[in-house]
Amino acid sequence: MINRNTWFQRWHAIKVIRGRYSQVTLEHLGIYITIAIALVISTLAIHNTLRFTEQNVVFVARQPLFLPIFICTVLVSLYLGAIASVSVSRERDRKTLEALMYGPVDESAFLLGIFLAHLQIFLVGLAFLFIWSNLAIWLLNLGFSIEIYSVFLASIVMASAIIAFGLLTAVWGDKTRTALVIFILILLFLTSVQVADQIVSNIVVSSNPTSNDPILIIRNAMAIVTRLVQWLSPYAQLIQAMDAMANQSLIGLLGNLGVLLAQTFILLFGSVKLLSIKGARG
Amino acid sequence: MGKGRIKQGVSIHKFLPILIVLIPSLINPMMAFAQENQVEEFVYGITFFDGYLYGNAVSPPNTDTIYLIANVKNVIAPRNTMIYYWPLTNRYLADWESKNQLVSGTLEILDGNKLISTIELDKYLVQYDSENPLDTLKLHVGQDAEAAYDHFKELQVQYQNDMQAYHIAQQAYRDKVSELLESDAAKKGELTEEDFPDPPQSVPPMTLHSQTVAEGFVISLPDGTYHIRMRLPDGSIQPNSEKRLLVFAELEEGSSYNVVPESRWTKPEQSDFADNAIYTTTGATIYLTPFRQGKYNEYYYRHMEDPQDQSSRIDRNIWVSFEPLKNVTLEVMQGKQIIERLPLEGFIVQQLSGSAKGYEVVAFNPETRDKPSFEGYQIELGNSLSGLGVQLVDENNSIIKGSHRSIRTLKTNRAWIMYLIANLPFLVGVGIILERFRKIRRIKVVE
Repeated sequence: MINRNTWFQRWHAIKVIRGRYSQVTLEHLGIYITIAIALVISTLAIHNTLRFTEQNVVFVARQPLFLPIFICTVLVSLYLGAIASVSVSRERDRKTLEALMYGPVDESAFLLGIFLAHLQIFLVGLAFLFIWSNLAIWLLNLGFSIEIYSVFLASIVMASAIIAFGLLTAVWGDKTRTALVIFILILLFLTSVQVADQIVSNIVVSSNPTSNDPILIIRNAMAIVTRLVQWLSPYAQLIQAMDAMANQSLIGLLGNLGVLLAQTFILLFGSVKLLSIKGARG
Repeated sequence: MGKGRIKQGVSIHKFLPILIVLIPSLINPMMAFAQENQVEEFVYGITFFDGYLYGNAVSPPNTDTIYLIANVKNVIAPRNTMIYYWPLTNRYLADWESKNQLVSGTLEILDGNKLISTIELDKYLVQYDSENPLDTLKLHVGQDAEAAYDHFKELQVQYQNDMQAYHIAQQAYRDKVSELLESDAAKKGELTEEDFPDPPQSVPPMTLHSQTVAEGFVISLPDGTYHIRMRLPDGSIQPNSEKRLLVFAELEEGSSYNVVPESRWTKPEQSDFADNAIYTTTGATIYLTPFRQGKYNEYYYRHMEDPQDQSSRIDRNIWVSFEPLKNVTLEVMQGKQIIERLPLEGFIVQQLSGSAKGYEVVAFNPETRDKPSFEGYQIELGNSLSGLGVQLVDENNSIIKGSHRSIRTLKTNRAWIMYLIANLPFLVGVGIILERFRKIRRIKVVE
């Protein structure tokens, strides 16, 4: 059993777990396929911009790479959050977590190790995205923008929150399948609220709104829910951080990064506490 | 007992129509008279400054807040009018034709519970010259309003007299021409151009626009939230006159551009944000028309324009474009070096004749046309791929805030390379897996 006061031993355990889990994931094709799919979708987005420019001759935008980078980081973080969740719940399903806990690993070392492993894998994905975006700038003549690198940094914090959320759902859901369902459903809910809000907003704008328009009731309700979701959803925080960057609002950017870091900390702390309460057997 | 009551009591169906009428009227008192044609109500007529011109709005009893821009003169006019519900737009509208009665009294402005100002009714009038609204727009107050209106009426009379004189002169000119054409000299073919009189000069249109003199409370307040109410001459408060007054400031000043590609005149793009990039294709010619713009909270601004607006949101800001910028020069830069200074020029848009559809933009020639289709800057990009930068400078060579934009020509035919690069992670993954298998094969199990 680990001496809980020995931080060095705990850090060593974290490093070992991080190395093991990151190696396992990086030696399988899944992560590479996910990154490739994410980059193909990002390319579709940038290709759409090129086609529009070709047809309309003029295209005005703050930074056409913001959307492709956002799409790519969201997809990769979603995948990593899901496999982080599976990693934890599978250890419990196979009863190997209990064995680990009897050994030189405690709850925080185990969860932090898995968290850092997946964050490390995200950085690998980001390296591919870095290459892709720089080649896009050079090949398509998009123009260099320092804001892109700020989005990369913001996406690391966003991915931290998603991975931490994956860990919480794993501890919360006991079984692998339940954990995955909780993870996907909650993220789907958070995303669908924002998408629905966008759709409803556009309907109102395009159809001459009136005070008794029934869509307005939905729209106003969506606005309230979206405002709440914006504080909870890491993706919404990343979008706001990108807006802040485009508006050169350093305070706004730091505020969004602060919220994302707070989300990560709360989710990690919650996961560790919940695992301590529920125990390795669940 | 209970069951008996139910059986003997009045059926709910009999109450239903009453409930249908009563419940909405309890929720929103305006709904009650929405069913009727018109109801006399106290309203505030608002003459607001929108950052460029003055607009008009009405604040009916179902709206609790009036929104105005800070530190500019606005007018709130207390009126009794006929209000009716217009189902096509689901709005309450004022029928000023039926009734437009000024309510006498004073306007009290409160900051919290503290009375900070009492304003008396004053005469006011908005006038501007449509040729140059920015420099001529003025809200005249008090005696100045009456003098301005008298001046407007004098100009109107003068214009009518000039027009009358012009028509008489025109008729005389036609008579003279007819007479000459029927003369013997005409029949003999001896008439020359010199024999004909000069046609009369047309009268330039009257471009001064003016309201009639009205009475209202002229207010100019710093940004903040206030409360207003109207005190009647008998000391009582006018019913429905208590409202919140939200005075808001412009968040940021900037410049927008209307970006028009030569080949697609009908598809302009708007560049609102400073440091926006304008992407285009090689060889394109684009035209930039600069506008002054202001950034405001969307909800406040839209509610100032229409107090019954339903589409705006408080968590959003909007850029509002105002008048086209004049007396500014566009500096075209490559890196930090200025390579060209373009003056604001007029252009004419001509539709191509024949079966080929499209437009052609040519430089404005004052000898052939009265006025240009638009004014702007022509930028010919050629085949150069190096990015350009543009910014506006005023007559003092000072850079206009928020006017910088970068222009880049995209290599639109290279998307396929990006798809290949997108598959790079997959190839790397396959390589790693193969290397792993190779390593596993090399492992020899020692007995």
